[in-house]
Amino acid sequence: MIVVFLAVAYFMFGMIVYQFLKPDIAIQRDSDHLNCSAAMDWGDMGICLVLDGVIPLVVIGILSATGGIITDKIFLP
Amino acid sequence: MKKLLILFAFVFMISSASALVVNNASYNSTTYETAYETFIVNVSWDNITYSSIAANFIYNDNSYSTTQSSIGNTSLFSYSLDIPLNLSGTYYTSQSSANESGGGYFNYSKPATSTYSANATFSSACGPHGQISIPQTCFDYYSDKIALQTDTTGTPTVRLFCQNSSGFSIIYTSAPGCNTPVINSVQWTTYNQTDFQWNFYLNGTNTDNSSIYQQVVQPTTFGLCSATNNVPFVNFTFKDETDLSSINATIVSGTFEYYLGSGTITKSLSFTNTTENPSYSFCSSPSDRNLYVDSYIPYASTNYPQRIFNPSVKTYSSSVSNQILYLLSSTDGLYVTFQVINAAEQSLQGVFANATRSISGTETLVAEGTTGADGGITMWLNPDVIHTACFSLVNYNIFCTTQMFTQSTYTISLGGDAGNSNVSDYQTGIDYSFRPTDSYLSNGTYYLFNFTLSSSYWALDSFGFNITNGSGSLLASNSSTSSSGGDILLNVSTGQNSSFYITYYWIVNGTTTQSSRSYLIIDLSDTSFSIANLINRFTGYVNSDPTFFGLNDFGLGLLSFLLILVVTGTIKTKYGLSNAAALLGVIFGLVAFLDVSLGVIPNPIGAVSNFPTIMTGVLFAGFLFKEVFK
Repeated sequence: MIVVFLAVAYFMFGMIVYQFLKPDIAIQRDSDHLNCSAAMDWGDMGICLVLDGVIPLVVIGILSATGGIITDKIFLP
Repeated sequence: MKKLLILFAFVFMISSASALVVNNASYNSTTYETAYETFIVNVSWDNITYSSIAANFIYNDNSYSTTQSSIGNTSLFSYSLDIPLNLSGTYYTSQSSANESGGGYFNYSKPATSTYSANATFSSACGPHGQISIPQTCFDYYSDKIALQTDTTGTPTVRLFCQNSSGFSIIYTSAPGCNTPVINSVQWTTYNQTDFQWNFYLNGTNTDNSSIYQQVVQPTTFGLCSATNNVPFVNFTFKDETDLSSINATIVSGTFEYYLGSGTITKSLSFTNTTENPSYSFCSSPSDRNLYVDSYIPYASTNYPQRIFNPSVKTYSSSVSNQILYLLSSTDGLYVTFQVINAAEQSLQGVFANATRSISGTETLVAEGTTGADGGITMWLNPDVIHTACFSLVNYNIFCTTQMFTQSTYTISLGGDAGNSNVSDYQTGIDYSFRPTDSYLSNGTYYLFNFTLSSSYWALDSFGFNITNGSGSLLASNSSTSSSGGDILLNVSTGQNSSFYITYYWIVNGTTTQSSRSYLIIDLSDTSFSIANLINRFTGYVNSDPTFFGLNDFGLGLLSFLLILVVTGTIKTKYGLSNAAALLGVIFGLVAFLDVSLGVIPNPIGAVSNFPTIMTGVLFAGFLFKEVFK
């Protein structure tokens, strides 16, 4: 049970923390900075793709971590 | 005949009925030199058709355009001016010829064509000669001299001459036996009667003139009180600034510039009295009007160094003003020299400086003046008393210091040269803030924008702020006319705008000072941070022009092949997956992702959409069927 609580705590903490990344990512993707919606430079395109992948990767990482904890401790004794 | 008279009368009546009627053109009140007066005329008309009407005011042979206002069928014209001075002049002493000695002449100036009559009183060693009336003929000739001399031929007499078209003519001869050659005083008193008139212009043509009116202008006088000038306006007394004891003092080379009206025309008085007196009382005429006086009074006393009283223009009236002038004993004071320089350590000339100290609880001016070419000014101050010394010069910040001046020399540095412009720093005393302070806002959200400004120095004309979007369209604005500042609020939705541009400003003396800031409006909903957003972005870059890293279809296909090969090979090697169906399943998944989601696998020409995925799927299904039913 403690493990479940720990996993839930990790999940909640992760869901809160990743919100702080959103504004900075949005600002960097905005037209005043990288202008990802109309990027012309290959480097800008690459960075925009990385920025777009950050939040999904963080969410996937959080889910993987919590899922791994639960799976490891409960389903795989 | 009768019919002719009737016809004539009828014509005359028509003419008369068409005439411009002038009313109330005279100014009957007595006025005075330097007073500010308004002359008004009222005209009405019958049966006159015109498109414009104007009037000129002729005063003392000078013509002035007037201001018109209309009331119904009546036009009102007015003109205001400072009443010029009456006849004035200076008495010069001279010796004109061998047969005349002593005496002198009165050199005067007058406007032309005005009516003058004047009286002269003079005295010689023979005593006063009474008042002599100067006839108009003395003023009509284009000359400006009336001579007063002693004729020493025969039995000496004193004579008054004036020059006319025939030359000099004698207008006064004293009783014989006045053999003293010196005329020792002359008092020239005049009164003036000035002419004025109104000229009217209909449709730009001078059609009518009023009568010539005569305006009496009484003299305005200011001087030491006497039997003939006996209504006191200001009384100067002197005190020791240390013990406040009364002192007798002299006034040497004092000047007074005085006037009744706007100050455009003034009269002046030079006054000197080298005898120490406890007070000097100055009287003025007329007694029923305020007199404006600009004084410059150097005063001193025995054992008291000179000080100068030079205030700004003061207003005096028959309600006597008592002005105490303070002196400091030579045993109590110290000459303090202030050397005024700028930031480059250059001497500043023309700096206005003054020093004040508290006397009987009132901050009192004890010294003032301007710096000379060397940038220095010396004041006689008490080193044991706190003084406030201030220094000001155009284009420099005013500097004041409050302390005891115990040294003989101080250096004052005026900084902040504002240059030659007349621009003031309208940010002095201004404190402002703008909220929200975040650099970004969420879209589709109402925000309360708050501009808070306080002004502790300037009186604001108004202040406020505007909100515009990224396209420059004004979305909202608000302002306030509070002179000391305050809060201004606006509740505005970000909507679908991408940015807000805020311009906030304040206006002082008609000059606008502004600043700005911007807000980025972003969509913080999760859809813009999704995997789908990533895939869409990638797809967009791949299909853009220029393509992503310049990759064309072949390049993307080659990379896709390598990716499939590497991933499948890694899975087989790392995790030991050797079953063909399973490997084909991995390959099918990768092909589907790369083809359907990302669209980077080239499709053969003429093939159906997503042909690689379909073909791989068929192969995977075949191998799976084979494994299942093996």
